[in-house]
Amino acid sequence: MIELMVSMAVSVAVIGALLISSMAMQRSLNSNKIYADAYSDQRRVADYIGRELRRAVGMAVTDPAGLRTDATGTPATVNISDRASLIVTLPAYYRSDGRDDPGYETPLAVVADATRLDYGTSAGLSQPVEVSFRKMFFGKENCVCFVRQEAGKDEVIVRHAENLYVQVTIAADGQTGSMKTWFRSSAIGPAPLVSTYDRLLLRNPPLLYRP
Amino acid sequence: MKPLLPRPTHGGVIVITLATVAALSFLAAYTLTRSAPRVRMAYQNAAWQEARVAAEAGIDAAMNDLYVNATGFSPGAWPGWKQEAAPVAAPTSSGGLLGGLLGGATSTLSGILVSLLGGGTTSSTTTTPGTAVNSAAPIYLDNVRLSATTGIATEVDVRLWALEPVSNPNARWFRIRCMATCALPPGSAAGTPANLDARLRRFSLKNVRPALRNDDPGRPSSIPLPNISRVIEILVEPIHSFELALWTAGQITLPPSGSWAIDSFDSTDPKKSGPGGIYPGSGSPMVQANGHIASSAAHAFDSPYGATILANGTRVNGAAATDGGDDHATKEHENISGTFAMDPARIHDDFNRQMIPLPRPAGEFLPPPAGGSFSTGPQSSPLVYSVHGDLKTVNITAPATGTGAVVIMIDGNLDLAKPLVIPPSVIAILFVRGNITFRDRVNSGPGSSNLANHLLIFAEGTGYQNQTLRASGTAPICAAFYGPRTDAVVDGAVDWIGSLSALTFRIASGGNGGIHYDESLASLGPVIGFRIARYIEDVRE
Repeated sequence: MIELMVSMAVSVAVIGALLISSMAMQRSLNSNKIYADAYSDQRRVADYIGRELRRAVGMAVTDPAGLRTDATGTPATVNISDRASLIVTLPAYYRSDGRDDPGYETPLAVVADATRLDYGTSAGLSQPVEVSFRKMFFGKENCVCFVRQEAGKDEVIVRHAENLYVQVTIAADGQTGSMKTWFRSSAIGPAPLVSTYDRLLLRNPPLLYRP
Repeated sequence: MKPLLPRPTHGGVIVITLATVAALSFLAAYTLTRSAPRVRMAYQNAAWQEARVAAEAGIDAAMNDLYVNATGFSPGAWPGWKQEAAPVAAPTSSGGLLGGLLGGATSTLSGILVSLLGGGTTSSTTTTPGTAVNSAAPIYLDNVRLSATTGIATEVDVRLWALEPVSNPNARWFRIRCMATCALPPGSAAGTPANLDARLRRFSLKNVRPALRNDDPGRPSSIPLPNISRVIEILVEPIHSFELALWTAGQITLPPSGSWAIDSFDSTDPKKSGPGGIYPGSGSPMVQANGHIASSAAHAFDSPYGATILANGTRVNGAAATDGGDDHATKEHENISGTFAMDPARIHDDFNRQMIPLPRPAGEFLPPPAGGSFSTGPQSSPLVYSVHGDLKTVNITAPATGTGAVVIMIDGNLDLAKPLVIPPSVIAILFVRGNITFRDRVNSGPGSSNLANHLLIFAEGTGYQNQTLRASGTAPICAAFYGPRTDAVVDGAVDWIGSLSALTFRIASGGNGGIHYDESLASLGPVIGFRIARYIEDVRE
């Protein structure tokens, strides 16, 4: 009888420990999933914006009222949300921006104008293309999303972005910038978790002065 | 009553142990199953970043080979590069094909000198919008392995085209396109945690994306699938030797007194020059504000701030730049002293350019003329003289018709007490290994062209000591000078009309002279470097 009692007690203890540990592990894995998903979203946003900034030839921001300011000569900071957006001007490179057009993936020819060589057509150098990044409610996804817009076409880059925040700062020289992304989660804690911070050097040089 | 036999307990212990181990194994497997995609995602992100870094490294390697093989007077052999077998037109070219880069298509001396003279033109700005560009058949580097910091297996393929505007073959640009491919861990083909990631990172999981094969010349990439590729493309602009009014590898010292100034004009534009393209005079409204000056002098690592241009209140009508030296935490420009007569908005500290030596073309040429007067040949085939000693007088006979060109290679000093007359129908190129002294007019005044693009001087000292350039007196000098090992000392009363690049530059005295840059020189002379004019990542391939 005593042996049975002891073995039962030990069994209960072992099973209880397993249960408790599995529940803790489940919670941990759940938090880990939330963190990993959020980090993945952060990384994706940062990589999208970083990719565009590296090849940018111009930048602008809009404030919460939607007023646009070109980031030339003065530092600019934007917390991307609602009407506050980042606008990146990319050099012209592709023959078409229509996804279904045959020239969508085809580069433009290199042509010359009076001062330089660049991508264009026989009509002249092609005009740059603007890309904007916004955080907004996106009807097709029925949630708040981070959206990249190029040539009037929206591309969702993060779904369920309610708790994801992005701040981009452009230096006064217009050639360097920094980017901070973070998220909040009630499952992990109320404090914002700053997870990614990138510094960027723009590759396209200003040709406004010599030397 | 039979006594009870003790019941064996070993089986129960084994069962309980196995059950416990099974439960723990289940938990471990579950944990691994949940976390493996995250680890894979981290690896994919790292490879995506690594691919961009590798592609830019490939671009850097190509840029370095451009410096080695496409600068100065002698075209390089492009070791390690291969010519694409068929002369396939570059996909972004709108013009015809040039000769191949390998084999030195322009290696003849006359070819070099013709290009030095701007192909007979004096301006690179004569093209119209959308002018076609000729392209060379590309050369390429095939499957170059890189040592990635993350240890990811990485390989790059680089292709390079020479581009020339049809209307101005002297302005040779380059297009470099580099594809870097990084390995992903085996099993990545199973998928990604978020499909949005796949749209950005564009993996090649089970097959190589067809569009990428265009960027994989030679042998196919040896990086196994699954992998990730990124493609960077740049357009590279040549930097010619006379692009700036005043450029030094060391310090610039401008005069502390007088009205000495730096400005610019354009001898090819009647609205920006006087009659015949001459400098219109310092008070003329035709004078321009593109007299840029720069110093490449580097700072010691323990004293990063300080002046390498001592402006001393000199009026500089142009930008002024140094290689660092400015403390951005302050409002002042520490990199240039005495800037009160300069526009603060045109002071920069991001100038990073190497003043490379330019050895003369090899060979033994005509001896100095017995009569003392050098003759000229046509521009397409200039007469070239080798002078093994000093030269104290230079007389050049103008051609009977047309424009003639002469090249004089001087091993000793060039010491001129009398005026150096360059007739308007003559273009003269001087290579000097000794010291240079001017005491009177140089290509200026009656009988001379008065245009700097008619007299190009290259100082190419090879000894242990630096060369010197000394210009004294009050007479103008119309010339373009390039001497990476030359200490230039100019009297304050001298007007140097053209361009001057030297190791150091100093004004010996106060005066009312100056440097008056001829903007038409910007596209003349040999190429001494390159700058990236356009950076593209091909994100749709």
